[in-house]
Amino acid sequence: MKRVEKAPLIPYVFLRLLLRGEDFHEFSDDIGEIYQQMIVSGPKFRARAWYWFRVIECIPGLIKDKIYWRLTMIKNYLKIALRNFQKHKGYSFINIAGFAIGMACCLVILLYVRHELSYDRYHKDAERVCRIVQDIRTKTANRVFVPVSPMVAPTLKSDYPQVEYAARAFTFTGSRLVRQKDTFFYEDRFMYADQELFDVLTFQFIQGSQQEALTRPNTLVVSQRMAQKYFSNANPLGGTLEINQQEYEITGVVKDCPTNTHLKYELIASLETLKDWEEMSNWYSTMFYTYLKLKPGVNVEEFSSQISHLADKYVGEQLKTWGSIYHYFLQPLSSIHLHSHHRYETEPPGNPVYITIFSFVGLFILIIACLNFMNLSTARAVNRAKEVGLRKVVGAQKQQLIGQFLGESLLVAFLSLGFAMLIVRFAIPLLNDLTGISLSFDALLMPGVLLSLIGGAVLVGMAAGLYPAFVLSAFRPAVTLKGVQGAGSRGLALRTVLVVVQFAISVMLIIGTLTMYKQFNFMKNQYLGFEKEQKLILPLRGGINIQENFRSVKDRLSKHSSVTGVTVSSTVPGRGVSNFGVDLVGEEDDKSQSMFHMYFDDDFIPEYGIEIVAGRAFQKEMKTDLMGAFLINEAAVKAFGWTNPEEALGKRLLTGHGGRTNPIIGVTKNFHYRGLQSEVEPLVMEFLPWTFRYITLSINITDLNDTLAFVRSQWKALWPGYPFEHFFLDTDFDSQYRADEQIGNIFGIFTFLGLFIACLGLLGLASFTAETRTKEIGIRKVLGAPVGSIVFMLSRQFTKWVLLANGIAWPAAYFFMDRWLKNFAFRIDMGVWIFVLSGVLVLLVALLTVSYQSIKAAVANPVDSLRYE
Amino acid sequence: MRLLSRAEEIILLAIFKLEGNAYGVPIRDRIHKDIGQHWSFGVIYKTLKKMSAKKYVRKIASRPVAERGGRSRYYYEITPQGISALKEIRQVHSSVWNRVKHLSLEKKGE
Repeated sequence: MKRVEKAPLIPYVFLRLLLRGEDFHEFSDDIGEIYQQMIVSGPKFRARAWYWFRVIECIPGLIKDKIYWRLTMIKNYLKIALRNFQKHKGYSFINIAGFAIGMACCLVILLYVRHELSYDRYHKDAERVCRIVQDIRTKTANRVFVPVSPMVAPTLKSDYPQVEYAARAFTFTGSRLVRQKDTFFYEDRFMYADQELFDVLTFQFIQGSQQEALTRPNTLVVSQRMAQKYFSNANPLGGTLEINQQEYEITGVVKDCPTNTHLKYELIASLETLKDWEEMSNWYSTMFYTYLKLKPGVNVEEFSSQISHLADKYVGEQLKTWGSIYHYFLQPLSSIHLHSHHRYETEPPGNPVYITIFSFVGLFILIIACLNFMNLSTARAVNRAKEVGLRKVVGAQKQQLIGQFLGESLLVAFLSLGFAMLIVRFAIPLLNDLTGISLSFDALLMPGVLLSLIGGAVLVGMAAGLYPAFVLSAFRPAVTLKGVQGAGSRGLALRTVLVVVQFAISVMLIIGTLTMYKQFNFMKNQYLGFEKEQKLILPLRGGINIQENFRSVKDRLSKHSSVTGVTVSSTVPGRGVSNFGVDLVGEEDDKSQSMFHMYFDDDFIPEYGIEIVAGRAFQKEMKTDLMGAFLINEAAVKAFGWTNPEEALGKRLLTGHGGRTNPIIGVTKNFHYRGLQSEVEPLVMEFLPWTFRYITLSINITDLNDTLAFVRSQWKALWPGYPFEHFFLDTDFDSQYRADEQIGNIFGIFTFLGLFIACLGLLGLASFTAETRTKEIGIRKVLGAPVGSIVFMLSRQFTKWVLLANGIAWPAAYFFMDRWLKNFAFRIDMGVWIFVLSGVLVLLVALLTVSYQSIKAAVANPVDSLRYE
Repeated sequence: MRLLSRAEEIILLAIFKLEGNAYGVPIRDRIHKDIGQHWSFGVIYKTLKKMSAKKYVRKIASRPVAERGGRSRYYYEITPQGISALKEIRQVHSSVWNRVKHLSLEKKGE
């Protein structure tokens, strides 16, 4: 009895929080007394339960009591806030619209950044999964290849116990012709893969066995979408698909490929199918993407350095005679999308620079919106001065007033968040269309994200509302109630700074947009070293082979008056080139290096208008040109160390698939066979018919429909059953810039919105200024001031601010955009005019915004404004 | 004067019957004995607080009590206003029930 038991802590703390002083002690000691008795007389848990219940049953009542009066005040605050919204519809609209648009921008950017950062993080044990890539060093060059030899995966598994699983994926054969009964389709996302790929990466099997789907040759795992496409509602399992004339049995169906993986798939065939292919034991080829899952606890970086020379044990001697070094290293799976920019990536990698840029843009726009709010609230303080004075007279504390005004800004923030969500909901489909990025609104509705959004809204509301709240609550009732008008000029300096910052940001964004636009335009219009206009391209896919009959095919297709020329090639500019080691035969052995290769027939050089600087192009009459001669470009001349293209003629090269030794017969001027992001690299060209995969028709586009109909009919006759496809070289080539251009589009949209928000703020401020100066304007007019001079007077200060903003924005924008331009090997000079144009544009928009209010104020009849004096 | 509410009436009567021993714990026990329900302490304190404000009861802090860790108990005592309020409510009760002879709401079978 004497031993005092401690009361249960949690309910005790609840009471402590809800009650004060005497009330608390009375309650807790009363129930404490009984609690002590119960502890002595009965089991402890009963006493505790009793205590808990006594507290819990009182909590609702206590809370109600506690907030009753606050609730009453909050009701009053809310009423006042809503009345203010109604009374000043214009201002409220500006506030909420500005905020909502700003937040919507931020949300979209948030979605984008999240999507980019989420790449390949969904895989199970993603931190243990890596890709192995290969750095091939020769004496003169050093190139990193993403795919490696097919021997790497088995070697890793047998030689290194740290590796749990290793799997290869082979995607190099291009698009596939898939046949289901009488329907043919091309599919791009086809790959061969090891069974173990399912252990390394995460695939969600819907049907079939994850353990043995790809163990046999000629088996195929399809995505849900493919299953739906080819089998609609029938059970695909056990069915067959014919892909490039080869039957595959469907052994599994997996969930559709997520958008955030670098290895996109639709059809996965077993690599067993290729087991007899001689390439499968080649240490020198680079064609297989190889993924590893390490055992738990293995340090990736350490292991990466251990395996760097894994090939030396097998082919070290050979490599030494060639003078090249194979250096392997690992890339963590989740870093691939943003940080791996090597040869033959599975898809164009993301750019981390854009993530930084967009994060900044989002932040900027939010800041602009916040500044707006601060600006308007402070400026309009005069309207609330009387209310504040009266509240103070009847006893409001400063803290209460701060609370009230903070609450108001929170209200605006939440309303805006609601509108922002609506805007995003409807803008996302549009944005996805416009930009080609696949964002999903649902990502915003996940509880965690939603919670942080609300948190963000609170933060923004606080940030924007704190300063006005302090200014408003600091009014002295005696002064404000007397009706002194000076209150509006409070914080004028700060307001000026805010407007200047807003416009500086806007100017920066505009300079950015203009620079991007100019760069993209430059890339599209730059002469590439060949004619890209009026070229109709027919890709030969799905195993069409024209090795034997390319001459007759060309003849057939050129039988139309609009077709001025036909040529066939292994690739066309912008469509990727292959890469082989090149040896200079004879003189010096150490001039071996790897170079890009391109193959075409004798009409290619004249049809594409590529200039020859030395020697000659392939000629039909010279039978030896067929598989017996090389052309190189100027870059290759330089890479071999020759000063003059003439020097190259007659030199013999050993290169190409299979390896042939032939003389160089000509040198072409450099032409851009890849996009302008990269320099023109050394290129070797050969007349090699079995590689031909593209037909290029030079056409006269005046009669396009007729020409197309002709080509289509010829195609049908030549390759019945194969879908007819065609594209134009110029649009196809430009599509290499699409990723960057899409980013530019998004940037442009944000710029526009940022400027729009800034103008909303300026509009509010201008109308406020005009309002506070009505009397002054009235007097000026009475004294004879013309309208023009009053408009000028009102606009002058805004002009000053915008000019100042330009001064700040120019160097900052130059700094950022200069760095962005460094992404491109061929780039524009930014030029002064971009800066001047942006400045003038912003100034004009600002003046236009202000002028509405200024003119309204200036033409007003002075009688109205001075009547009450 | 406003009439007592039912809760006020019950609590006041409990204090009255406890004759000087009326603090939270016994008040609640008394109410349980009188009406057969366990009231929450919150309701009791809230009502007491209201009645203190209306001067029907007076709150008196006792000498420090060892069982309560050296803090006071808070006893309640009815004031003359409280007594007259009780009288009034009894008056009201008897007059409103006066003519009710056959209350067929209960025990109809009897």
